Amino acid sequence: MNPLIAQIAAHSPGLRDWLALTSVIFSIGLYGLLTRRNAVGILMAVELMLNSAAMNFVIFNRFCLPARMDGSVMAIFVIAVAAAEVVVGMAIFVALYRYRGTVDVNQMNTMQDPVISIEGPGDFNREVMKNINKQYKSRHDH
Amino acid sequence: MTTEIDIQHLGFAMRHAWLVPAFPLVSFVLVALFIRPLSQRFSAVVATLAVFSSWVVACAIACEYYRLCPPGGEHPVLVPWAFEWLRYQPGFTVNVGVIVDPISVLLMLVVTTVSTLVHIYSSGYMKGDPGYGRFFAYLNLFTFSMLGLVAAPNIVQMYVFWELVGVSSFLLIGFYYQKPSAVSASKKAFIVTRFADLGFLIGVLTLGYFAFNLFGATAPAVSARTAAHCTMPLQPMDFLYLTSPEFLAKFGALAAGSTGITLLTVAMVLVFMGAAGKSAMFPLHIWLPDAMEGPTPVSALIHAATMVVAGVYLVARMFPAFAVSGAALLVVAYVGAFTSLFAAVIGTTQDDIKRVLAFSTLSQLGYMMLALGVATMDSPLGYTASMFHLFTHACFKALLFLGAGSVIHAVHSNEIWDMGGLRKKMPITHITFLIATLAISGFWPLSGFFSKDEILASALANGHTFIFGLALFVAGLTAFYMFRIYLVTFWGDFRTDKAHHAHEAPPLMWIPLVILAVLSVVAGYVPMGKFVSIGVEHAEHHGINFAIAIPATIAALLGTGTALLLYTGSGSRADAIARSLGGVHTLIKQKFYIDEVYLFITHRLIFNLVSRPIAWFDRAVVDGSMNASAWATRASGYLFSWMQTGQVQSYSAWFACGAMLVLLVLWAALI
Repeated sequence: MNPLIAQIAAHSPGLRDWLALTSVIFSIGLYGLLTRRNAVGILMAVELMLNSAAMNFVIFNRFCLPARMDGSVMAIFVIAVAAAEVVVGMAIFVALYRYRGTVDVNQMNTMQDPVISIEGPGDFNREVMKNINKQYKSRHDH
Repeated sequence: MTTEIDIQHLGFAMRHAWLVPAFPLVSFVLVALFIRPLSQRFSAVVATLAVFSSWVVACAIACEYYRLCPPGGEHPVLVPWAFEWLRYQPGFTVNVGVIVDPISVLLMLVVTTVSTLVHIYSSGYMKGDPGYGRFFAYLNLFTFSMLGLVAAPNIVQMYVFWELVGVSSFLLIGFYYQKPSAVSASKKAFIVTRFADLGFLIGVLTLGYFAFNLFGATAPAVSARTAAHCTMPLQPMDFLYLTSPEFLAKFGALAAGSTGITLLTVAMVLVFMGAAGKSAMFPLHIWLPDAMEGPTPVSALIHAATMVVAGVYLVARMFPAFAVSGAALLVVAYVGAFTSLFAAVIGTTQDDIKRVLAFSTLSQLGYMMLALGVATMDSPLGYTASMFHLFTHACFKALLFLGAGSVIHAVHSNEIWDMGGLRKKMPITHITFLIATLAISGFWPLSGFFSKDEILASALANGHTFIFGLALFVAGLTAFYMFRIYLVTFWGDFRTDKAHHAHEAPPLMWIPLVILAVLSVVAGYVPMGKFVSIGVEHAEHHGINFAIAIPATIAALLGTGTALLLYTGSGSRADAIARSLGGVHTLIKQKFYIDEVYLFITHRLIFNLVSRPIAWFDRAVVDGSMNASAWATRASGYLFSWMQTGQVQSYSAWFACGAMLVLLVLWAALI
């Protein structure tokens, strides 16, 4: 055998190296997910994380059950799902951009509850309804 | 056993004794659910027919009973029909059945007779009332409950029906439910009797506890004596067992702690508390005068002739137990005597015709109680006398109430000073009312004379001279207040236009009056001593005992004479006496301020000192702790709401931190 090839084969990365790589990719993706302000960037970060997971499937397939194809099949699944997800996600972003004029996730805070007084259940519900109505109205005033 | 009775081969009426309460029950359901919405008139017919059928069966039972056990002989207790109702544990079940003995037969006859007549009367009296059908449904319910009470062979069944009559009384007192006074009267009656029934319940439980504990030791002897007369095996709660000498000898020997009072006395005084509540004895009498807010036929049926004698019936039913206790019997005698005097004194000053009759009922119930109280097992004349008076009183007091109802129907007022001169306008009502007045006053030859005579005789014979004197005085007072209302209502001039335009009641109303008047005249000739007795000795009915009849008649004549003197003519003499008495008259007229005392105790003392602190505790501590926990939950939610930024990224950061923490934990644990 060619000594070069043999050397390369002797130094070919093992399970540990591959897992380190996917961990790094996953961490980069997680960091992007948590820090990016642009929704498209977040989507890309999610893709990174998905791909690191898909790679894990392949890696474990290769090192644990080399005779079978289960992990590779799974990876193809993940790719297909990720593609579909990107389509849906991008469609949402387009709609969001049309509606709010931005895809900055820092401004997507309508899930936050306004401060609610704590007098009693009747007041509680009234306050919540008032806030919901106010937000609904302000949204349609834009 | 002198009389041989084959319990398995009785006549039809005995075997189907359950028919007596069943007729009104079925009719109550039919009338209340189906007939009432369709036809008012038909409701009355069905209800009346049902009670009449009960009367027929009750008569058949009476005939059969006295054919089996002839008058003058021994009168055993029969339970010809029963079924198992509650099985608590082997050897302790409660049956539902029908007891047949002299007093239950007597009460069944009285209840069905008066009830039938009141039903007939009501179909005229209540005509045009929007609640006509409802009224008859309630009357049926009451009749069913009362017959169930009378027929109870054990104290548990009696307690159940005892409450049922209380409920029907409540419904009927509050019949005019749009009238606030009727509503409060019905609540008052219910609460006062419920309070009394608390004592009864504790008494029943006490009796039941010891009856069950002593059952094994004493039951075989009792059972051997009575098994031939019952279709079901003896049970601890049966009256047959509770009143048996074997049980009472054992139970009467148990002392309550170191007080020197026997547990039997405690139990019987508690039972008497229930009886006193139902029969409106002195401290618990306050509900009966107010119960007159109900329609007059109801007052006649429930609050004069039948339900209020349930207390007397209970004491009579448990008489051997009271007799063994002795002290409890003395309580019965003195409470009865005091009530009879107290109520009679108040009765002389009241102006509402129904209230006078209510106080008269109280007084006569006191008479029955004192008669029971002075009797003993060795000389049980008072027992017979009490039942005799119950019987005659039911006739003439129902008659008085129905007569008063007829007058009220004509004049549209309860005030006797709105009436007057009615003897010309309402001759039949007048004559029957006069007969009843003479009967209750105790004039020979009417029924009241004989029964009162027997009560007085029994008090004297058993050495209760004080009670005898008191009863004699009450007899005089009775004559006085009865003639007072009689004279003011039927004699003199028409005091108002309404009295002037009064007219005789329709036949549906006066026919029952006439029947009751006939009964009031002849009831005294029933040789009650031969029919109703307790113990081996037969109380002898002496004909007329002149040593008692003469003072009694003189007392009645004095009372009548005083009434004639004061209330014929202008009536100024009565006013003069009332004015000269001043404060005493006001005190009596205001019923000795007993209602005010109760209001003071309940409102001022109990509400302020007990209820308000409890209410405060409930609001502040119980509700408060719940509110505090809710508040704490919401406050902590409020505090932590700063974490809810609405930013998905911050949520996912928290999520990532959590996931990493879990991984670390797993890593530390697994490696």
